Amino acid sequence: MSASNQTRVVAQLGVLTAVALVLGYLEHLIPLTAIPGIKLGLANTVLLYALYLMDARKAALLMLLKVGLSGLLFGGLSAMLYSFAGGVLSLFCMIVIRRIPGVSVVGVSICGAVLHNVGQMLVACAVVGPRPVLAYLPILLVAAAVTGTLTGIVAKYVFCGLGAAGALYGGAVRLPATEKPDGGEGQARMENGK
Amino acid sequence: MSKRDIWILCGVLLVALVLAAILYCNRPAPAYVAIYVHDVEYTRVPVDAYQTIRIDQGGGKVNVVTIDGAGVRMESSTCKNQLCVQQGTIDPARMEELILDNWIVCLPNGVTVELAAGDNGK
Repeated sequence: MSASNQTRVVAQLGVLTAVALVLGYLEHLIPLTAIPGIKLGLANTVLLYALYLMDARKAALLMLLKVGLSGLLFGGLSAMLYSFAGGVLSLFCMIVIRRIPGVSVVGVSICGAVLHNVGQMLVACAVVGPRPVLAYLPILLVAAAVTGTLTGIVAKYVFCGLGAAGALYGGAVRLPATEKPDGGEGQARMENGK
Repeated sequence: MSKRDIWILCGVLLVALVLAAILYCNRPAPAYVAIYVHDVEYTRVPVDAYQTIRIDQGGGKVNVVTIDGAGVRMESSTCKNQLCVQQGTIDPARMEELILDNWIVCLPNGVTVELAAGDNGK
């Protein structure tokens, strides 16, 4: 990797980490539902961005940075443990599901949201035992289906928007084949923008 | 959304539905309130024995559970997120209207409250 490429990656990861942290914080201010403890998971759009437009290793690094920093800034050690378990399981699942043909970023996002909840519930099991956690599982599954779909759609439109704005990035942003907004035209536009 | 995305979505919802059916249907009326600290039973009292129970684990971890005519609720907790307090009251007479099942959970303090059927307390 050349020095300028490395600089670009460091800068990109820095910006993405900041965006993920801010989104994670802002979510706390939105009272989403009547059910306590359910969040939209907007920060996952940033992780999806890294996974689709960078690579799995950088996405993993971003996830670790986000978990560590948001734990230090807002949550504390136990919150860090919950989001670490959720983050690892969710990212692993998203990397695997992404390889299945025909599954778009929305499907990957749903799986990520479900596994994020499952990871956190495993930690919760260690704290209070399995019975209360199991009682909460159906609600968390439905919540993950809804929030995963919403954040997946957000990510899809972000990808489309970035494709349209490709010229700004000097062609650095390449849309994955399945996410082209209009059958490959976005890619063509980016090439033209160079 | 692609076809497979919709399959995934339906799959998740189906699993949730089946689990909900198993867990929430045909729930007998609760007879007692059991309080656990880190999965170890702390106390168990009949659901109609109105009282306030203070669970002090030391180190500033205190939860207060109230049982009265309105039902069972986490009156206060020293935890940071207060989700257990926000969960509100579980009325044992109207269990079937609940969506959150028969548990009040305070994860940070490791305190759980269960409304359960069966052996009527001590």
